[in-house]
Amino acid sequence: MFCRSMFESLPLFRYTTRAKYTSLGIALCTMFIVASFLVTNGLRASMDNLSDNFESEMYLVTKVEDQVLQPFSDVAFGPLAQKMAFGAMGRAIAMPAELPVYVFSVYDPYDVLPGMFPAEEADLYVGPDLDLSGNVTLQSAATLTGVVVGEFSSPLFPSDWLLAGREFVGSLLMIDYRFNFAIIANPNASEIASVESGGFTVQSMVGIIGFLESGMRELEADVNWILVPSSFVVAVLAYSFIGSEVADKRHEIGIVKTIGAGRRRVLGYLMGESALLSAWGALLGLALGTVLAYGISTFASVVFTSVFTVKVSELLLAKAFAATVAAGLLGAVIPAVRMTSSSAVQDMKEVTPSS
Amino acid sequence: MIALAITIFTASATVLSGLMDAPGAYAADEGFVISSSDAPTIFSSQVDMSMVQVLDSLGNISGASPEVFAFSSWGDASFVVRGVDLQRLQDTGPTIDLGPLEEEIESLSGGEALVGARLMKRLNIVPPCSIVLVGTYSSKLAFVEVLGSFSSGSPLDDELLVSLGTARHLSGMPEDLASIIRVKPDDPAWFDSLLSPRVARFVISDLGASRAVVEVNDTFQVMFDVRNWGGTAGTAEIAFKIDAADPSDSWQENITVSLAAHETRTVTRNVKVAHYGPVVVNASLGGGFPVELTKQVMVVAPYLTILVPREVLQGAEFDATVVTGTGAPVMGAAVVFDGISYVSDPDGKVRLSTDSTGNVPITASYEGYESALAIVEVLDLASLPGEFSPRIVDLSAVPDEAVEGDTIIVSVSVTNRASVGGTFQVPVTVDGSMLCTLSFVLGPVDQSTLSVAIEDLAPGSHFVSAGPYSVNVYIAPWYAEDPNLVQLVVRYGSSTSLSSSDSVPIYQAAKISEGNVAVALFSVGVVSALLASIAIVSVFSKEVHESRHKLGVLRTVGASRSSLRWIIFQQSIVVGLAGSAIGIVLGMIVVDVISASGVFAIFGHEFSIELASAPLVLILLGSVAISVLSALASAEVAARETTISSIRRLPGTPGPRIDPDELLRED
Repeated sequence: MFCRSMFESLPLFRYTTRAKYTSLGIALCTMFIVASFLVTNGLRASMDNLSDNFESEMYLVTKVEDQVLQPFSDVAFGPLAQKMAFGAMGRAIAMPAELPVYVFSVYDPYDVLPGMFPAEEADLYVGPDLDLSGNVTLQSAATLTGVVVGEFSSPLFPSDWLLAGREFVGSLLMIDYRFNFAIIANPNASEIASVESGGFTVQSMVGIIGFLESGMRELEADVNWILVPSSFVVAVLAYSFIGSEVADKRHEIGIVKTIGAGRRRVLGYLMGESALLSAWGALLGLALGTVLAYGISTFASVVFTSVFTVKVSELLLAKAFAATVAAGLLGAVIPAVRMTSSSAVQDMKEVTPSS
Repeated sequence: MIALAITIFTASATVLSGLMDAPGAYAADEGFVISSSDAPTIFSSQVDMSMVQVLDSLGNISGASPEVFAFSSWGDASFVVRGVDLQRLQDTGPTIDLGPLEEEIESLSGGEALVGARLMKRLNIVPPCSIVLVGTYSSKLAFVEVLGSFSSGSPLDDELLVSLGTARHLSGMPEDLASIIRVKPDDPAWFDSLLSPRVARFVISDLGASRAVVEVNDTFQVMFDVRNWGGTAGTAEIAFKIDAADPSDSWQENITVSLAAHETRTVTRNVKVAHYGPVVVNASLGGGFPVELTKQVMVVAPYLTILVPREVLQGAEFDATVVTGTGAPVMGAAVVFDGISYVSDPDGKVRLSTDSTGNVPITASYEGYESALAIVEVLDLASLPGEFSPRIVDLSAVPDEAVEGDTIIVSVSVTNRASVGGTFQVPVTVDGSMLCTLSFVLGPVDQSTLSVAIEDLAPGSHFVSAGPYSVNVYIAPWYAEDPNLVQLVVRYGSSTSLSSSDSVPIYQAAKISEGNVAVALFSVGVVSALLASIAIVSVFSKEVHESRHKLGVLRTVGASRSSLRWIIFQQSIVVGLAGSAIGIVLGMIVVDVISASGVFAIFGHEFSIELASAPLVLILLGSVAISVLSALASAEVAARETTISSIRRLPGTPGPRIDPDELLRED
């Protein structure tokens, strides 16, 4: 009780100028973190808007083991197969020209894919840019002969490929009636998860969406590094502040130790002071950082032609706040622990200068 | 603590400089890149492939590499797919070291690919292997065979190299376009000024005349284009000259044309020549890129031409048309045929017939014009075969020498020398390949001429054939009129932008201008410096604050304030220098570790982190200066306290407080 009242009489932030500047320094650091996070978040919003311009209705389903496309049956997908088209593709050598060609087949009983893939039996259909005609012998896992009977037209497949029947390709690649790729139309998240749980890889057939998404993830990961220098400076500020506080209040703390305050209480007092200072600086920094982020985006949008948006995220603000307080506590540890370790007698030999 | 602050700042500054250099990734950090200036994003840049051919012909360009960007994914990884001509890339881009391959390769064809060393690790693949790629902007599929890996020490190592065809299929880029063209000029500064000039630059082109053959005293038009392919408005002076056979018909004029940036204007002049002979039209432009264009027009005396069928039936009526040399019909021309005189109508036509057989002459005359003579073969129907007998009698190509992009008109003339008509199919081929089939419908003793236009013939010699007839057509490259580099800019200047590799607008990927990012990065850099400064100031303030007792003792024994400042200055210099040096060294070690770890990546490319020596020196000097200033500032504050208050922390336990009133109270 007596110790508590002694502590309560110790004026927090007696040296108000020092506390003011320290909290301002902490606010600057937090402002930096917050502005960086918000600008990056705005960039994420811009990317999402850009991605919305591209629709991905179709997803490619494959199964890869040891770098090889594994054959599979349509039965593996159950009722979901009604949203899918299946196919097989592989490389072959067209004789006698010894021309490397890619041969593929499509099994699309539910008309999932645009275009028609009419190949049956040994009929072959060349793409517009493939110069083959008549009887063609193809060498792959097996050797088969087909007849070029026409051209296929499909935006999905390259124009120098060769379309053949399901049975023909299956025999050529020696996968029988199985397939090594499938295309699923408009799957929802649970359907994708269901397919993936079967060991398949599902990827959007519009690559730009994934590319922008991964680019943003990279940028967001890079921006997190900003926490390092900012938190370091916060820690240094807290270290300096608590160090100075300890130097000035040493005598008083020595008296409190003498009358029974334990190490934990002293440590708690000093760490509490640091936490309070860091929290106050962090709150100020959140506000300044938000203003700064909007200022940057407005300035950039006015001066330059592109749109530079800022998007406030509560999670990011909480992250910046927590990082600042944690850094402040971390910085205060060394001088605070040093203070708790010193002897009360030595502490009381120090006389506090007039305030 | 100072060392730690400088370490953090050095590492931060280096990462920022790496971010600034990230744009070079799409250009693979080499040479110059031509991209379209009006593309909103790098993804949508499209430049004309024919520029490659032009660049190849220039003596001071070492190489030109067209490249097509696509963005695809395999498994969970998204990456850049770059369609290239491998040989050209190796001539212009970074040095590519190929990994172990089953066979030597010189080019990528069909579905072949090479994977960059860093991408190979991300994808966790070991070539040779096959992977499936998806389209960039729409649903597409491609199956590529990764033949091997490569290492270039550039951002290419994060990419998959495929053939141009595969990249075009994935991205939807047309055959005649590319995303960028990488150029390796012998004189980069000159090339930069050529394609991205900041001043007005002019060129003239497409000198033409309204007619190639004109009559004396007939007016014809000469026109040419003037183009400003520079970045600002300006005025050009063109010397225009008419050089006729008769000096009295010759004249010249200096034409002044003012144009805004990237503007083109057509200049037209009317010319009239009073004497026969060739007329040479000359337009020339001086300056840094001189151009001289020449065109010849033939001036002839007025003459008549009779248009009449080659063969007619005995007793059958047919039309003869009298026209001038310029093709205008002549009304009132005197026509004599088989001894009978006629006068042409307003359309220049006369209706003729004869009972004679054999070659019958037709003459036409008109005052002021040279008379014309034509021969008509009059055939006896009874002597003609009763079977449809078409045959090709003429094949012509106009012009037979043209410039790339010009249209060639091929005309086939067919005659039926029989008493029975019919339909005659004539296949027309170009270089052995079928162009089209002309279908002639002919009556008895009939003739017909059909024409077909041929466009987009490649430069070189071509044979156009119809039946037993063939003609040779020569197509010169479009720049043949002026095999000067300036033709490059006539076609492409100002529609493309030329960038050095470190300014390729990667930022356009996010619809953010380069300026936005520069502002953001500069702000980040300034704040980083500020934070480092705060840390240093804070540390020095604390140290000086804790040394007040010592300062007070020194003041007590007589040291002046300037002595104190000198002491603190010396110590802060030493501490600042030592701390900064250690901090910079540690910072560079941290940078090396970060760079090797590849932890920083942006839009598919890891960016290498380096810091030049100049910024390091700046960091060293700056941190020492901040150390000294903050120490001196704190010392100044401390020195202003009274000596006694500075040394009030006396050793020993203080005794009980003495109350003077109590002491002096009389009991």
